[in-house]
Amino acid sequence: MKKIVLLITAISTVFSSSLLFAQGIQQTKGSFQDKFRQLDEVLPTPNVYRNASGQPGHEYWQQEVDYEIAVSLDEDTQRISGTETIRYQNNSPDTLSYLWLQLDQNRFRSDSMGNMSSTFNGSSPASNSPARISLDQLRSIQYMEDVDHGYEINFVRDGAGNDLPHTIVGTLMRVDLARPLNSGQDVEFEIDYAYHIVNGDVLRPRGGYEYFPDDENEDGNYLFAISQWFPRLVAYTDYEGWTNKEFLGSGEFTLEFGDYEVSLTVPSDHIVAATGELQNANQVLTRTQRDRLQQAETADRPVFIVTPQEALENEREGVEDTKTWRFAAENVRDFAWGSSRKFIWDAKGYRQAGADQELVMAMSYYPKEGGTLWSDFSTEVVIHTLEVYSRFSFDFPYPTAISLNAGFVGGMEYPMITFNGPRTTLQDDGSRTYSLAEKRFLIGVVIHEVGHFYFPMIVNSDERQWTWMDEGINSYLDSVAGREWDAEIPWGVEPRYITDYMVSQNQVPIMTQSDSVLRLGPNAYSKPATAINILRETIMGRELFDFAFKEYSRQWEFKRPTPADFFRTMEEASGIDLDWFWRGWFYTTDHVDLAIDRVYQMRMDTENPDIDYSRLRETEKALPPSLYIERNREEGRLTWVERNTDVRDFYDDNDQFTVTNKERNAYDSFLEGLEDWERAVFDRAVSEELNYYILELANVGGLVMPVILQMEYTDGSMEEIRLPAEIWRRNASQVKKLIVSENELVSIIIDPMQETADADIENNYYPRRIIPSRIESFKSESGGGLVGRDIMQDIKTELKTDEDDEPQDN
Amino acid sequence: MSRRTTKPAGIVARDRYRFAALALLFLVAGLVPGFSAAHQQKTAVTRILFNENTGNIEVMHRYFIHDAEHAAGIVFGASQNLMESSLSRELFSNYVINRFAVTVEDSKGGTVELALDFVGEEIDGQFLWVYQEAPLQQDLVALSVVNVALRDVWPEQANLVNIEKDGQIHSLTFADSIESLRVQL
Repeated sequence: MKKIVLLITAISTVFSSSLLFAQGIQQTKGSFQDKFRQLDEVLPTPNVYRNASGQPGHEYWQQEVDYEIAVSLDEDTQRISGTETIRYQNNSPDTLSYLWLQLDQNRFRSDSMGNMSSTFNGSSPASNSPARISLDQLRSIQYMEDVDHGYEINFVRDGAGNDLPHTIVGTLMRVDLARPLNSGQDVEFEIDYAYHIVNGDVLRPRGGYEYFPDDENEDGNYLFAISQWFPRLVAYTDYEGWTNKEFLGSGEFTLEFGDYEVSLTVPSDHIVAATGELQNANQVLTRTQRDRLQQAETADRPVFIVTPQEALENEREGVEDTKTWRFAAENVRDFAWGSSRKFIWDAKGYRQAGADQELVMAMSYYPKEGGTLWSDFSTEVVIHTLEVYSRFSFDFPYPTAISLNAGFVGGMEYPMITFNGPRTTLQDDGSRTYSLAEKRFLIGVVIHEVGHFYFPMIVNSDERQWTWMDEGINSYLDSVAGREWDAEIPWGVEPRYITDYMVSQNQVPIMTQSDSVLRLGPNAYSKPATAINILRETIMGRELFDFAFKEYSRQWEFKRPTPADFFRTMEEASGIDLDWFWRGWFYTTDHVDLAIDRVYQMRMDTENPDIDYSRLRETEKALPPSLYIERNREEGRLTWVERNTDVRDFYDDNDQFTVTNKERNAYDSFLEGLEDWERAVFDRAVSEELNYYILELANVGGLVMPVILQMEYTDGSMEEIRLPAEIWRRNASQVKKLIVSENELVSIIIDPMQETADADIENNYYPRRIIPSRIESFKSESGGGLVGRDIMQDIKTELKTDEDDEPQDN
Repeated sequence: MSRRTTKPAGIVARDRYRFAALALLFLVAGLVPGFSAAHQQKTAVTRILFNENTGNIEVMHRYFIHDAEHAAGIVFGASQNLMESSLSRELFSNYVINRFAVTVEDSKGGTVELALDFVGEEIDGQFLWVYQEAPLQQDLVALSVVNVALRDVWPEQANLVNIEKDGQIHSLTFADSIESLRVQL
């Protein structure tokens, strides 16, 4: 007997066509692809250093490296020379017989691996036309020939003054210790070194100098933004040992935490900005400057420590003598500084109530070329960034937070200090202006670089291995801070912006070593930032995401996380299985494209022949009539039956839907045959008269994602239904879903708010809609919307009156 | 002034090119801020869409406004304000369409460069879009694309071109010294 009366089609299982390739595991029958397979074989095995919850393990360790550095800056020859004393504390369980140091300046040697392996990127068109190279590129080639770059290592000596053998390997140097360094021991050694600072205008390094030949000072002026400026210890880790991979220029750094005491001897008219706190303000600052600094601690707006007028006066001529500025920084992973007689300097205190570091001095240093763009916004943006990032992670633990203007850098980050590029433009009338795009860039870049104070300067991820861990996470958070600065400014992490990249054929997974990434911008910045945005807004929800992310930040504050630690913590703290998400977004090049292919409606049979048969009759009637018979009618052609109405029998008055007692008896015995609970279910279903819809969904892009459905009903009401990504777990390419509704459905849209980076919108509609291309939309809006109007010009337009009757020229 | 001119006026301002002797042609590029460090941009995307609804091949170039503004300033000398000035946008659009070309190949091996009409440009979010179009070609087996926009200003510029036809996406990346690429459709 047919007891189950719902006409539900069983969901068929159609397997997709690609094979599963996981380490040691293969799908060798059929072609099923498990997009939800746990990352067991992919993630490293948890251990005592990093546990299965993504936290530092109970025997977590990291090295400590303390530096005492004293260098002189020779402005005339743009050269740094001096010595550093390094104390290396071996907290690892291993015995070390040698140490590795990074010699990043060697990247600028003409024979460096970075230089020798760079490919020609001038123009090489068809064979019969000349190749082209820019004068800019040619200048850098000549410059590399002319100036000897890279470190001069004069000596490496141990604490007793004995030379230590050292071997330079590209951008690395191995120092062989006099005796093996056991676990728990420390060793001190000294390096005397020098190097020519790189011309930032020519090679566009992360740190270098900028020359201003047009200043009043007849020798011109220099602005130094100095980084990667001393031999630094390579990180020794539990997951990779020595992270001694050659610096090729793209993959950035990973370093050890330690304490720094730094003495910088510079021309006496220079102002110096640096990581850490100034130790000898009495010797290098005037009484007025010190007073202003104190005022700034409680000021509502930034206070000039060096005013624009004072800076202009200062840069008119140079000096012969020098001053030594001393800085100290605790528990930092690097140290950078800037020095120039051109610097305007402003500061404002930022108070963190209840924090260990209650007062943070936010400060900006910029030449007159930065202008009001800098004095109005830079320091305020620094503070805004600290406020937002601390809310997502932890209180800012350092005493200073600096934004320094170096024209040759887009933006670059170090502990407590950032170098940022935006400038004003000098107009013919002597004024300095900036465009709206430049203003937005300044705000964006300062937020981004200051954001790096947290990731990776405190949450110390390995930038050379996994650039996305700092750039992706930071790009996500900078968009959060940006939107809290001014929601009107487009910050660029809307999911729809990444789709062109994600559908492209020329890309590599996010989980790719930095030097091998094909397009670093979208790969390490925008795509992971978009993924994290989607994780928070769509997959996890803000509450669970924020708790888990804060947990990750706090667990790894001043420690060294790996991707697995991030992936695991986000799952552990939220209780959400995210392996499918990490797999799809970080380990593959799939893109998101969900489609709704078909919807069909079903109605429940009541089994009551008096109802069901008459419904069937209605259905039959609703079918279009036979075209042939219609045309006969139109021709006036009567059938035999119509012409002979006197001949009729039973079947002329009873069609095939006529109900007899035979059916009624069968219905009664059907009801009697039901168990009590079956009868209750049946009666309720019949009385509710609900609508049953089956949705056929397809996953075209391959990346599994939740299906967000916006249902529109005949009564005008709307409903959002969010189906979790797990709907794809047994079939990642096609599924059917039953939706039961009181209302009758009119249309369905997948992802109506475009929150999932779905690449093809057209197949998100049922019934299908034609989605105009950008060009079609552009034409229908008669040209470009309102954003790009020249309002400053258009506002001068006079209002036309009725008397102006000449034809308008649009 | 309308921004929907149908034909480009050609490069309006001076293109500061200088020619060297022999086989080297020098391009002058001024100093531009490097974004290669912690703040990465210098990427552009172009979509070439075979749009059956309109009967056109539609070309949609997307540039970061901030990149485009600096590039326009270098190429056209005076400072350019892309968000404020329609003239700046027109200059930049002209620059772009003069550095982009599509040649189509038919089944008999014949080639012809598409006469792409300039449709206009618009700002959307962080991006400046430049639009071009040409009527769809029926007999078409391959495309050759030349894209040097911004790459003559800064060599690290990478231009991605996605060609969307019959539900398939073909991607071309213009980086390093690549100026011209061909794709079989």
